[in-house]
Amino acid sequence: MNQSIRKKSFTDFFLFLEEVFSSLRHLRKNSHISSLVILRQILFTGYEALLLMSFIAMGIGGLIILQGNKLLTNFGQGIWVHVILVTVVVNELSSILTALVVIARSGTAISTELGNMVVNREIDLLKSFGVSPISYLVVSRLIGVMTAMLVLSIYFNIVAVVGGWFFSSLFSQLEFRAFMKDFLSVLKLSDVFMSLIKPLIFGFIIALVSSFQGMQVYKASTEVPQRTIKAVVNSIFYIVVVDILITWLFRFFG
Amino acid sequence: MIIEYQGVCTEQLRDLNLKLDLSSSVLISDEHEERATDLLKCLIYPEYAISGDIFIDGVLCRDFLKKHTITEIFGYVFDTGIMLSNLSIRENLALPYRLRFPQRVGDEFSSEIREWLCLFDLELDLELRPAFVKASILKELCFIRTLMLKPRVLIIDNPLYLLNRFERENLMRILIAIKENTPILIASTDLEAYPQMTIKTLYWNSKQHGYTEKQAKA
Repeated sequence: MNQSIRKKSFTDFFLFLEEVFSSLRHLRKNSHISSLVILRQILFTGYEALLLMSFIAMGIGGLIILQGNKLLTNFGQGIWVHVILVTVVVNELSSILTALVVIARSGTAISTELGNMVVNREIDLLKSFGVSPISYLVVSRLIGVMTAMLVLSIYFNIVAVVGGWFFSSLFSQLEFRAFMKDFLSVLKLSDVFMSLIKPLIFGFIIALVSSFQGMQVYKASTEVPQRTIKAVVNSIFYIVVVDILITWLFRFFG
Repeated sequence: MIIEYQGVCTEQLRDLNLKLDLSSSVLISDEHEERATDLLKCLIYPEYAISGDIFIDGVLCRDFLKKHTITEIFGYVFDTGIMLSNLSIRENLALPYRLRFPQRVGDEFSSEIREWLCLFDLELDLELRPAFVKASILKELCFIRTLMLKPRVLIIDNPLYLLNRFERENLMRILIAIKENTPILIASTDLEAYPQMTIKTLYWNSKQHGYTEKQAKA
């Protein structure tokens, strides 16, 4: 079937997903050419976002500790600040905020780049070499974004917790060792597991949705920004839905 | 190599039946260039055809390309100099080369590239991104990229597009030398540009649906 003149339909996304999974199975075949794409994606999504992530994590961690401390110490419930830190930052905010930053930086970049590649016939070029664009462009980005999301999320947690201690130490005499002891006493294994599984799934969603929207560009460059907007909106929507689902599953089974 | 189109339909082609004998080079002259381009594209992307079958030496094109890598059989040069914008020129040239000759080392690639650049009379920084290179040079680099793969058949869409007179003359000189060993399938309307090439020409007449085959000679 001619791909270029076929009408777009709802099933396109599932066909795309099927192609992605099929390419994932044959990952090793093109690893010698796609490893560079993966590394560049990790560099862009992960390394280059570290500064922004540090700023956000430090601010969020600090604000939560400050607000929680102020509120709860009045009632003699200071330990609950750490519970809030674990519940809010480790379980929820780290992966959601990392995902939002990655959507804003990398999701838009992936969608725009792939859209422009379609317009400039670079996808056709890859096909003329016998290279599957899904395997070379999409799967590589998928792996790159998932890896970067995981690393960024762990980094966010560390900076937020340390930042939380740093801010609280400005206003009260709080030893780092005591702070960490209280923090670790309320941190459960299921919290750690959830904070690792979420960024991986979110990374998969961001890369998949952004790549799909980018590849859906037909011919005109005016479609590129429209597809990028769709990529952002859809990514946020799916991530919130999946986040609710994962949290519910962990609460239910954990 | 014999290529046979049986009832092939694409965006531009309607129920095309055609047999191409690529034992020698063939020029397809189509006044509506898109049809000739579609004809070439069908070989590289069999999924491009909405319906119909394409056979290569009696084997269905899809099956034929499963047994061989595309780059080994067909070298496709686009009408414009298309390169991957996120890679440097060197990386662009190396990508298909590594796929075609995975066992060859970097030195071999570098020396081969130097030879081809010399042949095309090009001097440029290979670490540049394609966006910083002139369109005509990009087109010549695309020729180099394809020729380095040493395909069995060279497929060229509108070879002279974007090139100036000197670049055209140089390209023709190179193509004449290449066609001695490698059959070339060309889609072009610039018939007067190929006087030195003894080449079989298929004239595509829009008024009557079909072909008239002539032997164009100097």
